[in-house]
Amino acid sequence: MRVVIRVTLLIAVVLFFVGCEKTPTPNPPSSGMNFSYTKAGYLVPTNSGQGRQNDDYIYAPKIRFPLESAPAYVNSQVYGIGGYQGSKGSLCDKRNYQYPWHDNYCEKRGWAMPLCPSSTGHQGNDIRGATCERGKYYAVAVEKGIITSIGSYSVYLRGESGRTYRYLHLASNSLKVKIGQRVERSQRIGLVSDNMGSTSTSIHLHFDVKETLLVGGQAQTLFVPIYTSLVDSYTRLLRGKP
Amino acid sequence: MRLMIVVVLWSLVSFAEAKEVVNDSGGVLKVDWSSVDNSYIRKTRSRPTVLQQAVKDVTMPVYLPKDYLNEKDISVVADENFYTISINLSDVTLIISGDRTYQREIVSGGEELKKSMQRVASKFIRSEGIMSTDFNRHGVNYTLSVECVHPNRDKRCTKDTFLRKIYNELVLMGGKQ
Repeated sequence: MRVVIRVTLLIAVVLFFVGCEKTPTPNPPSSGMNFSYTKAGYLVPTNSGQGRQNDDYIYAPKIRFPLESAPAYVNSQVYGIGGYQGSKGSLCDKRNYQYPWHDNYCEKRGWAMPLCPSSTGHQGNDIRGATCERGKYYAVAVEKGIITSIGSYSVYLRGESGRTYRYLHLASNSLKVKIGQRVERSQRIGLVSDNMGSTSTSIHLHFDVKETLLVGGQAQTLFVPIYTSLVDSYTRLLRGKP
Repeated sequence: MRLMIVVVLWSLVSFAEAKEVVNDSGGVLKVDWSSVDNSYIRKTRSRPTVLQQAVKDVTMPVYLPKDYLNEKDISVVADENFYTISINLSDVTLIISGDRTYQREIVSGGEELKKSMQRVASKFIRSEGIMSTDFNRHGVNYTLSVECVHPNRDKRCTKDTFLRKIYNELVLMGGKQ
C-alpha cells in the first residue's frame, strides 16, 4: 500500500512539473494599452516547436523597441492565422493583431540554432505593426551604431555594444539609411513591408540579434534570444520612455 | 516521503548543474597571430589599394573572397575591432565580416552550450533565404553570407556550393598586429 501511495505521489509531482512547463501562462495586463505577453520560450501554438523556456535573461539590455510606435504585435507568421502552417484565414485577421504577444524564437525551422532546445529553429522574432498595412510603420535603430550592410531585403546595424541587429523585409524604396552611415538610437531605418527580394512574405519585421559568446575559451557568434529584450523595450515605449 | 525527498534533491542538483554563471561585461578577443600565414603580408601587396586603405586599422586578419577583389561595387565599414565588406554582384549581395569583440562570457555551467556551439561551427545554414556560415579563425569570429534577389530560385542561395567555394578560397587582405 505504501508503495502505491509513493508511486502515486511521484506521478503527481512529475505531472505537476510537466504541466507547469507546457502550459503558456499569460501575464496579467501590463501598463498602458492592455499590453500582455506569454512567457519567453512558450511558443503558440504548441505544435510550432519548443522554445527556450526558463531563460528570462535580457540578452540585449536597454535597447529601444525596433518599431517606432505602439501598438505592435510579436507572434508567429508561419503558425499564425493565414500562415503557411497556421489555421485557415487571412494573414490580416484581427486575431493576429492583438495581445498577448507570443515568443517565436526557436519556432520550428530546419536551420541549426545552438541555443534552441532542438538545436534548430527560428533565429529571431517576427513583429507586426499596428495594422496589416504595407509601408506604414517605421523600423528604427535600437541603439546607436553604424549600418554595416544592406541587401535586397536586409539591413544590418552594428550597435556600439558590438551586437549586430538584423532587420528583414523592410521596403527597399523606403530606406532612410545607407551603408557606412552612423545612426542614433530611434533613428528611422525603413518601413515594415513584405519584401523578400523578387518574392514576398507576410507584412512584418523579422528582427534578430547576433552576439559573440565566450564559453570555455571558445568564442562563437550566435543568434541570441531576443523576446525578453523586446518585452522590456516595448514596456518602456508604452511608458513614453523608449 | 523519502522517495519524494530524493526526487526533490535530484531536481535541485540537476538545476544547479545546468545553471550558467555569466559575465556580461564583454571584451576583446585575443588574436592568435601565430596561426596566420606569415607570407600573407607579401601576398597582400597585389591587393587593390582602396581596399587595403579601408581596412588598414583593423586589428585582426582581414579575409576577402578571392574571386571578387576587383569588383566595382564594394562597400567597407570598419574600425579597429571589426570589419564588414559587402560586394554587390548580379542579383546577389555577398557579405564577409570579422569581429574581435565578445559580449558575454559563460564563466561556468556552459558545457552543454559549448557542445551545441561546436556542432554548428562552420556549418552552412540557409535561413530566411540567406545562406551563411559563422566560423572562428585565429581566435576571432567571421561571418560569410550571401543574399539573393531571388532567394527561392537562385542556386547561389538555395545550395551551399557557391558560398562553400568562396569560404574555401578566402584570402588575407591585411590586418594590423
